[in-house]
Amino acid sequence: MIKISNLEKYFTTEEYKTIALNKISFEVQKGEFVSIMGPSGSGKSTLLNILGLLDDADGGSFVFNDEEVVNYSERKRAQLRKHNIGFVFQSFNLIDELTVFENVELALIYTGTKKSERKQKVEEVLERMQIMHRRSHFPTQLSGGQQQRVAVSRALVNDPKLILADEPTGNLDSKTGNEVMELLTELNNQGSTIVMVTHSEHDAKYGNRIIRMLDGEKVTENILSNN
Amino acid sequence: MKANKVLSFLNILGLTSGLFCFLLIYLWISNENSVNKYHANNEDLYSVYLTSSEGVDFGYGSPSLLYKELKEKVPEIQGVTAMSNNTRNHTFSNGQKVLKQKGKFVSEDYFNMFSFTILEGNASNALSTPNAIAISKNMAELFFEDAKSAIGQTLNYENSKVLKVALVFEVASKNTTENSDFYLSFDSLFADNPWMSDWKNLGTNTFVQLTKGADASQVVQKLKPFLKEYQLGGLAIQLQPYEDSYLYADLKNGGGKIEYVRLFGIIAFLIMLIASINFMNLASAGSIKRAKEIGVRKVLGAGKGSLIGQFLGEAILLSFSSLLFALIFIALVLPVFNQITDKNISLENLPASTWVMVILITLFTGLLSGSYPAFLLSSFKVTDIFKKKIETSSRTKWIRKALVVFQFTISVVFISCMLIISKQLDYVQNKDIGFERENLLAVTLSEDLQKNFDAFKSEALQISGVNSVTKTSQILLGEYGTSPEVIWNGKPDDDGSLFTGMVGSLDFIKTYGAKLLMGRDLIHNNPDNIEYLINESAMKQMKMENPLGQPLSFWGNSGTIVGVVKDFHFSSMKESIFPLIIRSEGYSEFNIAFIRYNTDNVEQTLASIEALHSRLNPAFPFEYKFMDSEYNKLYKSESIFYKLSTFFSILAILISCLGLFGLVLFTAEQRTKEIGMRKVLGASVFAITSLIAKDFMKLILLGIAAGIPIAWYFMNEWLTNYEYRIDMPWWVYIATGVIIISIALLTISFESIKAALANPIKSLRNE
Repeated sequence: MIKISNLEKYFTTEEYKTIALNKISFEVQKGEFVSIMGPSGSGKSTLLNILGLLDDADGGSFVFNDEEVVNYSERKRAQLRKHNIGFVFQSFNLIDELTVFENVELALIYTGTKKSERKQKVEEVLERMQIMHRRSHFPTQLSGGQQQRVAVSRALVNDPKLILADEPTGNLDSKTGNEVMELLTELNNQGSTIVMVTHSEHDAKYGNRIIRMLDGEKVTENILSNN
Repeated sequence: MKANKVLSFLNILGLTSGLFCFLLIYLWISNENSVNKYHANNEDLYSVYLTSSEGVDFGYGSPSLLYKELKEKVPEIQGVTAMSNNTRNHTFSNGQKVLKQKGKFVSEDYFNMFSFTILEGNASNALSTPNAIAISKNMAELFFEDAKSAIGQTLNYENSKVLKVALVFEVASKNTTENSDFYLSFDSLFADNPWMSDWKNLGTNTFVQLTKGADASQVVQKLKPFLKEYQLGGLAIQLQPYEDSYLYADLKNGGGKIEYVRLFGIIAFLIMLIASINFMNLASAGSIKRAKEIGVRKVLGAGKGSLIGQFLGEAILLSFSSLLFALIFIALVLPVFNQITDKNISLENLPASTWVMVILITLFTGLLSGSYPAFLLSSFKVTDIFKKKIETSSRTKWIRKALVVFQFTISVVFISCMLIISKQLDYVQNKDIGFERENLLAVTLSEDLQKNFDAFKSEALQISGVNSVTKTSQILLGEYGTSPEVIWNGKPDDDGSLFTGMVGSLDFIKTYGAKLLMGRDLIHNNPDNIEYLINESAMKQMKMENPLGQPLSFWGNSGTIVGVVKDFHFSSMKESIFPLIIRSEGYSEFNIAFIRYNTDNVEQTLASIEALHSRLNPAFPFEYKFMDSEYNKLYKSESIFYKLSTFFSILAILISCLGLFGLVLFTAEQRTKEIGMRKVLGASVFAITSLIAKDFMKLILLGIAAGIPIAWYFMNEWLTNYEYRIDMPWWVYIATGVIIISIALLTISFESIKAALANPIKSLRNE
């Protein structure tokens, strides 16, 4: 599903040029759950942004679904992104002024889904995430775990081929964190491809493979046998 | 941080623009308010005007002999002066030097009643002899070396009289309507103008000075029967404080220039309000950014009072810095402003009281603008600040929105009023006024030319480009007197109708370009066979069915009506067309020649007329006026008002947009996370821009909806001032809406697009 090779990314300020990704290469197969680990500044978030088509690379190749996307324009990336990729963030990034239902619906509005279809899909996913009873609440009225469930619902509602999770448990207590991780595992079991960035060894182990990064490079890659 | 800097900049810019407008208008208003108030006897000086016994006013015109009688018979009147009712150009010469100067005829008491700086001569008896003249310092320097050498010297007047300089004066204040270069003895007029001794001629202005402590209303009461003795029983003498004659000259409606003073006062206040609102809005929006600072200060023990003090202090500091900038801008634009408004305002010689006011106003602005943010900020609870709860305070958002609506309401009122005023001005300046004012030249006929007019006319008609020539008593536009002294068949005994009279001559209608309704043009200039033209209004006033051939007497000169002229405008369109009678032979000299020319070669035609003039009349300079520009002068104050209100409207919108810009910037910053998330979900730049713009556009639309009825009300009132006016143009409101929306959209989209284009990664990064 994903094949990156010799991917490069620099950040340049007036005086410095920081290398964020240094010719990194790896593949993610369909149906995999890959955890990416590494200390702060190792480039894992940058990598995730590029995988999520939020950012462009400065060199190398990125093949997504057999398409070379590294030179795609912002518009084309947005097109590809909204139909194929779902995001889960550490800080949930729900919109406070919108209800649970509306937050999830937003993802469908931007893909141009019809209203009746939107309602059905949102209800379906809220049901599946067991948050349906909160559909008319605002994010500030929910607990952290519930907010993340809403965020995951939003990520899922478009049936994305790929789910990218950036520290999805970072703002949660360990019990709620585990619930979210189990949710992701379940999604993976149902066929979703997941790439997750995390600091937590515990969380990383939910995946089938761990890629460890340091200074923009891949250092090790472990295949886990837990599932 | 960036937004904070921008907000401060917008704050100062907004306040500076607001103070700039406000102070400029304030300077203008205080200048208008002080016009003619500098006379030492100011409190006791009054202008005389007449009303009918029912209180209908007849304007400032009064009988020329009134002044003598008043002084003799009314003990409360200490001084009286008569004054010719308009300033005219007269020709003076001294040796080779021949110049036109403008001046008036005034009676003896003039220089005792009104304050002048007397450089040479004795004010108390300067004009007591018929051949005396009082001249300005400027005129003294033009004809002689200086004031000292001028006194006692002689000047040749209109190539016919020798006058002796009895007084050299300087106007005591620039803030005056007295702009005469010279004053001549009023009494000297009676010899050449016997009609002036007729009490029914109301062509002279009279001013009185009451004795100290005399009560004007009692004097007026006492004067009620005064005019009976002179067969003017239907008229009563009224007194208006002289200082009011400038601002309240429109006796009929109790208005005049004061209306513009009031209007600009309102404009100044509203602009200041808009600017203060900007400040409040931007400061309270920016306050959330300062929440942390406030929290820390509170934790460290700052009380509510000290925080309020701090924020008010900051606001006041900011408004004084803005004052400094505003004063710099005012100093820069004052020359242009003075030129437009015909004023002499300068920052250097403002009275101390004005400066005190300016400082108080600035202080007040600072307090007003700072109060809301100060109380808002200081009331934040520390716990809320650290929990970041304050962002969602809906009351604050509400107030902010209401203020934006209010600002745009004002802007809408300004713009639509400006558009309507411009339409009305356009209308009065381009309307068919009933005579052809284009290509019509009014040439002053000095003494020699009055005698040799026939030669002048026949030679002028030889000049290529000259179509026709006629002579009349006056230019008529804007200056005309009225009289009840008209007799026609069947005139009721109690009829006190007033008529305007002028003298015309052969080819009057042809040259003036007026239209005949019936009858013919004047063809005789024979005192034994006087012909009258009357206008439609006069025909209606006299209730004549078939006026042609009817006898008519004006000023005791019997004649026959030979034609009826279609009504044409000879005064501002604020007034209805007055009944007009044009007589073929003069009770006074013919002062003006009208020359109708064609546009083939105007310069050549003018040059030829001038050459002819100097050949036939070498002692006098060639003086002429274009009738179309004379007509436009009738709308001088409207024209000034329009120019200024355009300028201030533009500034008002700019200030409102500054505030709007700041708010959009702030909102975009507040919503970066949301915008980022929406972008991640695939929202286009357009979708995000319209998301932000939508909220603001609602406020703008509300402002437009509120502004239109207000503007409609004001403009409807304003238009009723005009006897001849446009219908309320509804499209103006649509145009205003479009203008405001476009400007607002431009302002909003600039920041919104920037926000929409920003990379969402940054905004979504964990804090």
